[in-house]
Formats: sequence, C-alpha cells, structure tokens
Amino acid sequence: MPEYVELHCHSNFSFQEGASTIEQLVVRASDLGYPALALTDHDNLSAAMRFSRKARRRGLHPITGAEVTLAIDGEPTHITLLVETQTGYKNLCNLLSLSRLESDRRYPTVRPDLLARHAEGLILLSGCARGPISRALEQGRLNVAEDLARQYLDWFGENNFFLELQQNLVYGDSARIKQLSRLGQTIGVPVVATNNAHYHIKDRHRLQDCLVSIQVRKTLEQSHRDRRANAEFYLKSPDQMARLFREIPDSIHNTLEIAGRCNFDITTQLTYKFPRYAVPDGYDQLAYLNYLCRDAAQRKYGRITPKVESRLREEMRRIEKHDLSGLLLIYHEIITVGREVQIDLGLVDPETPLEEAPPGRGRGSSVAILVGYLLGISHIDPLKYDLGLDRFLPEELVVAPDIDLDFPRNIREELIKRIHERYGWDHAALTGAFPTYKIRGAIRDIGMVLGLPQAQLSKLSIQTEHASAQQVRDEMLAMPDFRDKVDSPIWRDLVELSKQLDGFPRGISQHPSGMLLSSTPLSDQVPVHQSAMDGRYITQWDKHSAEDAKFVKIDILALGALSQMQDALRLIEQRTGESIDLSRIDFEDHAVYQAMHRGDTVGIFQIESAAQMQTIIRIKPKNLVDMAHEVAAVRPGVGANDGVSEYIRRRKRRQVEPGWPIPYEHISEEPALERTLGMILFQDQFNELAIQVAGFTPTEAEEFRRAYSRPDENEDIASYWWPKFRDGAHSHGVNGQTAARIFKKFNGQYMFPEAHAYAFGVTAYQMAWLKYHYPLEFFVGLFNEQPMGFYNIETLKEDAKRHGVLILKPDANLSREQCLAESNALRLGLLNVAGISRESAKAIVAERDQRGSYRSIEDLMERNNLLKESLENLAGSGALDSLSNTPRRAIQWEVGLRSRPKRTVKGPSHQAQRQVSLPLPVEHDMVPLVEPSAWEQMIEEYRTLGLHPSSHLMAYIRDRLSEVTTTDRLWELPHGTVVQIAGLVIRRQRPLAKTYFITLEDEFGHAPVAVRPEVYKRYRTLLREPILKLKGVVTHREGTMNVVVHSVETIDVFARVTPKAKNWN
Amino acid sequence: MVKSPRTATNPSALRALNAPEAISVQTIHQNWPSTLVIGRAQSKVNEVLDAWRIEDEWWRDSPLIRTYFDVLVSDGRRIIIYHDHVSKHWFKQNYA
Repeated sequence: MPEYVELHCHSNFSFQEGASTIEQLVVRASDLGYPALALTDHDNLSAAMRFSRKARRRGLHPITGAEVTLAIDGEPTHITLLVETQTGYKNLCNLLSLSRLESDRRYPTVRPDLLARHAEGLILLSGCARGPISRALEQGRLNVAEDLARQYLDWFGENNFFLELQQNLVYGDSARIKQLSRLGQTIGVPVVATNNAHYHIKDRHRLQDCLVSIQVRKTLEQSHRDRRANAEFYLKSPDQMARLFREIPDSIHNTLEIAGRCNFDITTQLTYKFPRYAVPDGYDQLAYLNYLCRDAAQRKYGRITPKVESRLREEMRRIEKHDLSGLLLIYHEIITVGREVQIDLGLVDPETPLEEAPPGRGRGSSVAILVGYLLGISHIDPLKYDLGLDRFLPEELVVAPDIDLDFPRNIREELIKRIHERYGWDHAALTGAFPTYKIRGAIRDIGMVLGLPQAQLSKLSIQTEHASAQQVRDEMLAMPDFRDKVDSPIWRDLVELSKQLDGFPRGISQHPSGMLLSSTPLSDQVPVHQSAMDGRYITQWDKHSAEDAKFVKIDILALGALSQMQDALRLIEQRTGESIDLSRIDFEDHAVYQAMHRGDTVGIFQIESAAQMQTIIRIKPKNLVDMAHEVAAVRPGVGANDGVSEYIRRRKRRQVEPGWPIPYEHISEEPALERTLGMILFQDQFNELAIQVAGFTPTEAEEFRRAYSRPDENEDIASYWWPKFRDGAHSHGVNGQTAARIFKKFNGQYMFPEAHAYAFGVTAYQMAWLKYHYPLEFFVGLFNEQPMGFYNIETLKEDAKRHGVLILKPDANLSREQCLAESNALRLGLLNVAGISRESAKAIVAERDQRGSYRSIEDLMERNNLLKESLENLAGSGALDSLSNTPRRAIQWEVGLRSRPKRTVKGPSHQAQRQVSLPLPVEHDMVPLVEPSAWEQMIEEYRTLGLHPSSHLMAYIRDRLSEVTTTDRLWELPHGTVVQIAGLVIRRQRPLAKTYFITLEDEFGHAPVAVRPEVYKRYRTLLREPILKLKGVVTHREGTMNVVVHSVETIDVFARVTPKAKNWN
Repeated sequence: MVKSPRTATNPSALRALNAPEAISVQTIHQNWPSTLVIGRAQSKVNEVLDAWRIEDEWWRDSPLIRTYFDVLVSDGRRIIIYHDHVSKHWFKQNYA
C-alpha cells in the first residue's frame, strides 16, 4: 500500500485561500492514513500552534511551514518552506515578520537576500505554478530557471531544496512536471510531489471558488481567471497521488523522507523566556519584588501583621517556584509607566501617592494576590475578602498566568505606545485576533459572489437575529419575503455555503488588549508585524495559541467607566474643592444600596443592564460581598442551568430561615460551593468542584475548565473528561447517577473569577456612590464617555432629569468641546453635535477664549472655517440660538446664505487661496420664517444631537394614547392586570434564543417587556419598529415587574429620525 | 480607415469559432479514450499525451465539468477531445 504525506496544504487561515478548517484537514488526513501533514498557509503561522496540538492528539505528525511570497524582479512568486529544526522555525518566523515589516503589511513579500540569510534549518520546495522556477520555465527562460535553482541549492544546501511537482489536472501541469523533472536531473536536485491542497474534500471547491471571488471582490461570473480551473486541490489519498505520479515514484517517496526529517515540535521546543526586570544592584528579581512589597505593606497596613507576613511568604514561595517575579515586576513597571502618562496628561498631581490615584486597576483572577495589591496592580485587598490563591497562582501552572489591567481610555492609548517604545516591538507586541464570519458577513459576501441582488441581501442580513451563519436557512424561513426562496437556485447555494463558511477567520486583526512580553525576541517565537493602527505591533497568534505556548500576556484594557470616574472626580474637585479618594468612601452606605434595590442603576458600570436591574432588585446587596455575588450572578455560565433564580431562591430561604441546610447532590460539594449556597457563581468553583468531588489535581481541574472554554476542544468533554470525572467521583464514594447530576453543573459559558467579581463589584459600588451623591458630575462623566454601556444618550438624558440634572442644549458661546457642569445642569458640548470634529470644536472654543464671545452668526462664521453642514447641524441642535433673535429655521437660512464653497488646494494660486472673502450683506435675502414646532425641533435635535433636551417624544403623542398605561403606573397594578403600554424601544435582547426581552421608554420611565417565543414568531417584523404599542399582562415576581406581551402594534409618528435601540443577541 | 459597409449587422450570420464537434469515443478504464469516431472515420488512440480537467459554473443550471485529452491517433494526428461529464457526451475541440 503506497504511503504519502501532503507537504503543501492550506487551511482557512490562508484567509480567502483555504476552504477547510484545521480540524477538517487533520481528521481527513488521519482518515486517509497519512503519517504526517504539513500546514503551509500563505505568509503566516497563525494556525501553526492549534494545528500541531490537534494533529498530535490524532496521532498525526505535524509539520510546520508556510507558503511564502518571494519577490523576484518585483513580481510576487510562491515558495514552500518547511521547518526542519528549531533554528529553521526561528528563521521562518523572522522571514514572515520581515515580509510585512519591510513591505506593505497587507501584501507581504520576502526579498531574495533575506531568504538567503534565513535558510538554515528550513527545507525549501520550489513552489506551485506561481513559483519562481515554474514561472521562468513557463516563460521559456530556461537559463533563469536553472540559475534560480542553483542559487537555492547554494543557499539551502544539498537535500534541503526540492523541486515541487504538482499534478492538479490543470492545463499545463504535465508540461511543467516534465520540465521540472528534467531540470532536477540536470542539476542534481530531487523532486517531491505535492497537491497544493486548499480543502479537505473535493466538494469544498465551491467554497474555495467563493473565497477567491471575495478576495478579488468580484462575482463568480467575473472571477473566472482568478479562480482555479477545477476541483482537484483537495487532500488526495496515497493511492491517488501514487497513480498521478506513477512515472516519478521518487517524488512520492520523498514526501516521507522530508516528513521524517521535520521533527521540530512547536508545542514543546519554543525558546520563549519570561520577561526580566532590570533590578537595582544587590537584588535579584525575587528579592527586589519582596522589598517593594514589604515597603508598600508598611505604608498600607502601618506594619506587617502576622496575617500579611504569612500571605506574603506563601505568595513569594509560589512566585519563586514558577519563576514569576520578573513578570510581576514588569507589571509594576507598566503601572509606573501608566502613572507617568497620567501625570503627563495632567490627570493627577505628581505629589499624590500612586496608591491614592492609581492610573488603572486590575481585573481578573490576578486581583486575588496580595503582591498585586501592594504593587498597585489591583485595588482590592485580598485579605479583606479572603480571596484564595489557587486560581491565579496554583501549585502547578498549566499556562502562564495573565494579569488584566483596566485603564481610562486616554491613558491606555498612550500607554500602549510607550510600552512598545520601552521594550521594543520584538519584546512586546499585541496578541493577534481572528475576526470570524458570522451570519451577516456570510450573507453579504457569499451573496455578493453568487450575484444575488444587493437590496435583498441587505434586507436579509439586517433582519437576521442569530449570530451563526449555520442559521441562514432558519432565518429565511422565518421571514415572509424569503421563505419561498430557501430551496430555489442560487439561494440554496447561499444557505449551504454560508453554513460552510461559518466561523472562518476573515484575517488577522489586533486583540483589543492582550500584550505579549518576552525576554528573548518575540519574532523568534512567532511572526510579529505592524497592526493597522499606527505604532502598534501584533503577533500572528491569538490568545489561545499564545496561551498554549505559555507566553505571558498582559491585558491592557480601556474601561469607559474608569474614564467616567476620572472625569467625575476631577469635576467634583473643581466644584467643591474636595478631593475624593474612592477607596476610602463608606462601602456600606444604606442610601446607595437603597437606590440599587429600586433598580435605579442606569449608567452604573456592571449593574445597569435590564437583567442586572431585575437581579439586583431580588438580591438586594448590602455590602461588597453581595456586590461581588450580584455582578457575578448575571453571567451566561451561571444562568445556563437556571442558576441565577436558584441562587436567589436559596438566598431568600437562608434570610428567612438562617439554619436552613444547603441542598447538595453530594456532601463532597460543600467545600467548593458552601459560600455561594451550593451554586457555582465563580470560575474558581468550577475547578474546586472537580477537585473536591472527583479528586482532580489542580492542573487537571484547570485543563478541564479550559476544555469547556475552547469550542474546538468540546469533543473531549464527553469522550475524555466525563469518564475521568465519573471514575474519580466513584472513588470518592459518589455513585454514577449523582456524579452525572454534578457533572451537569459544569458548562463552557462565561463566568467571572471570584477575585474579578470583587474587583468589578467594588467599581460598580463606587459608581453607584458617585451617582447617588454627585449625580451632576456622574452624568457629565457618563455623557463625555459615550458611546458606552447599555443605553443611548436620549435614555441617559431622561435618567439624568429624574435625578435632578437638567440637560442644556449646546451653545456656541457657553459650551466647550465636551459636556460640562453648569450650576446644577449639564451643558452639552460641541462634540455632541453630529459632524463637529474634535479639531473644529477645539478651534471654536480656542477662538472664543482668545478673542471673546461670538456676537452673531456672521461673526462665528468669519472667525471659524466651518463646513456648511457643520454649521447647519450646530443651528439644528440649538447651539446658535443665542447668536440670533430669529427662529432656528431662519438661522439655518442665514447659514446657507453666508456659506461659500470651500476653497480647495487646487485653486489658481496659493496667494489667491489666502485671500479673505469680503462679507456679503444678506439681510435683504432674509425671509420671515416661523419657529419650527416643538415636534420638528425634536426631530432636528434627534438628528443632530441624538437627544431632545427639553422633552420626550412620547409626551408629544400622549393625547393619542388615552387607553395606554404610563410606565410609572405599571408598578402599582396588581399581578395579572391586562394593560396597554406604549413607548420608544430602547433595548432588545434575546438571550439563548428563548424569550425576547425589550424595554420601552416613555416620558415617565421604563417598562420591561417579555415576549414569549410564540408571540415573537407572530410579530417578529413589527417588533423591529422604533415605537410600539403593546398589549399584555403585568407580572410581579420577587419585587420585579414585567409586562408579558400578547399583541403588538406600531405607532407611526412619521418621525424620520428616532433614538436607536441597543440590540443584544 | 475601414469603410463602413452601411449595412446592419445580421446576428444570424454570426458563427461561433472553435465550436465543439460531437464525436463518439470508445473508452477503456475510467473513461480513458481508446478509439475516436469522427464522422465516419475511426481512429485508434495511440497515446494520451496529456489530460486535464475543468470544473466551473457549478452555480448555474448546467455546470461545466469536462475532462480534456490531448491524444495522438493512429494516423499521426494530434487531436484534443473532451468528455462532458454532465451530458456524458464526447466532443472534439481545440484548446489553448
């Protein structure tokens, strides 16, 4: 039986050039009996780690490689490089980095001299039909082909260079094979067969055709020349390959020969080293870390108590064991750099100690370590909340621990640049990320290449609700306009191909926050290159691959709430002279918790969503432990098995009956779950439960949890982890049925680590405290950080008004760039006006500060170089009201009269462009215009500001809604009352495709609405309308209220522009 | 300058170039051609010099799936034929 190894294979990580996933390729290669498989994606190693892991698990020998674009006389050609040794891997990473660093990153190319310098440890195959040698042969330039071959032989050495023969039954393949074989014989270079596989099975050629068409932005009808001629680029069986190359058997034999030599294992042979910190003389890394911590402990606690001493000793022991001291010192350094940024941006007095105004704060499991608290990495004292070490610093490390740091947006932006500068891009780079195809992208792209009508594709994609492209058929069946098309020609291709495309990576982008650090050059471990954002560098690995490689990752995140907090504290100090240290406020302020118990949480970090509002009313937190439980409870992983309701039921039972015994499936659960009444609220408890019930080691428990959190490893749960858990539980006296019930408590949905819940719970409380005590500054900060959170700015305005904060329209003579506090009101900023750029807003304010207030429209226009559209928007928003006694319409008229076409750089001469226009009298062209109605003014303000400061849309149509109950009265109505309600839809949400939730807003407040699946099915299209009238039943449950809807109507108010709802699926 | 013929183009007078010509082919294993029947003349295939395949237009009602053969027949001529996998018929057609 013949044997064969495919040495030239693309996955979907070749981006628009490969139509199968890594899993599909690995499984198919195994099924075909391949002993090994090489992955050679185009110009990247993005999938190298996951390929190696998956292949090894299936007993397939993985070969790391890439098809690299080589510039020959300025023309891109393709060569295949396979990694033989560790040095070869390093060389390939560097080549791929340089291919983007030294050319346009979107079109990577390697210069031949670079190839020569990075040849060691690599095996070169001459490439596909677009290879440099093949191309020269095709052009009849035999001498050039021979010269190139000799050159490669010289660079790579004998036996490291092979002429690559591909027989894909494309016209010209046979001739090329003959020429290459002849050349090989002439100069003594061996040949090797490959099939240039782009998909695992033949049928996938249709998707491949679509991907290529997407890449060149053409329809299939137009892309004939760009696509491959046939469907022969799949993983062929050894028999098929042996038949195709029956006249050149060496070419098949050599695949095995090469595979046998490529023994580099990316999963174990990387040369990565944790980062090291430059410590002062006389210290090693650990000693210096110890010194810094003890110094800070003296300041924080006044003295080192026995409790602090014992915790520090334990942490230092584990830090030393895992060699993490350098890493923690680097984190400390990053906080210090953040502090420098904070000072440079004028956000803090340099005299204020770092602990009092840290530039950022920790999140995630790292918050549990005392060292982090002492170094300024986190704001939570783990001793106070009894946070354990095992999640962040377990005895056995499965992966390198990562620390997540949140910063205000402006600090984070600058901090990332400074980190790149400080460590250099080859020692600090951002983690890559792979945005994937979901339903809308699939419909848009596949539909486009199939030539389906654009308008219909837009309609279909806009109306879809599922995220997965697997659901195109279901979505079409649910829509009357598309139901009949599902099985019609072309549309059925859309359904099928979208399904295949679901989850495919679309390209490499930047992870929002993860930064990788290394002592050894990162570009020796993974290709690194520029990101689309100026001054940033990314690696070709996503966070999972980086984690598998045990790289240290720092997450530097932008948190809008911290920016809001920073802004509010600054404003409070400006207004009152009081500098508030939020770490020293009363964390058990009854009034603040009372506001939360009423669900008064709009705009408050972590507790403002409709789900959080409903939960907080039922949990009724009274301290920070409760806050941690509150923010942790409303997570998909807790809610998956009705966990939130069950937790609340148990909580209430315990309040009524303090001695009530917690029900467990088995008593062995108690150590893990007692603190949360037998329920899993935190990630940590997942691990603890596996340890306690089934005797997993901490390492096993961590791997078990990770298997759930990575979709590509789910298959192992049933086949590997369940039997292991069952057997382990059995040996702890837990029978099979009980073990199965406990096993069902595990799921892969997201949960908070316990320490993270405390970190966010504290921040949520601090924001609630600010809202209660300083609503004006709270809302100014919130408005200035938009967009963020769960609500549009109109809804935030209504909430501000309910808290006594008046919202004032923008004013050219009173507003600054951003919103500001004016007496007890919030004055909108010029940046709130649509179309006003940061530069324009800055210029308007600077000119006013320098030369006094604007006296008229003419004066404003003369002193600022504003676009007509910007001026019209300023007028529409009311920002020019104070400059004229005429109605807003007349102001817009005047703006139109006074506006001139903008001079362009293509003018007759530079001098002419500088000439100042003479003001023209316009008075005689002014016409009497009436003041717009309040309704018209509202529509114009929605268009230009996104909000209507003086009133609410529903107030204007209230007289048409005599039979409708207003939202403020709903709470008074008894359970079961049938009501009609009406309002603006401000939020839509369909968690896990069950009940559909919406929130209606009127001029009195909000109404939470539940739409059952059968009702939703009937009214799906109507429910997308912006203003709704609903009939339903009031339901009260544990202090919450909902209207369960029976029927839906829309209210057409002929408003072209309304505030947009936020939709969450 | 080419003088205008001053007559309207007659579409029916247009003639497709290199139109495929239906032929009969006897095959051996896996549709490999052994004998061609072109008109009334029969030619034995002495050698298949090359073979290639086209698969395209799969989204249309009638997809294109063909295997082409560059054959040397008994009278010394070199002929390009193809098997249409959709209609199951054989054709002769030049290929470039």
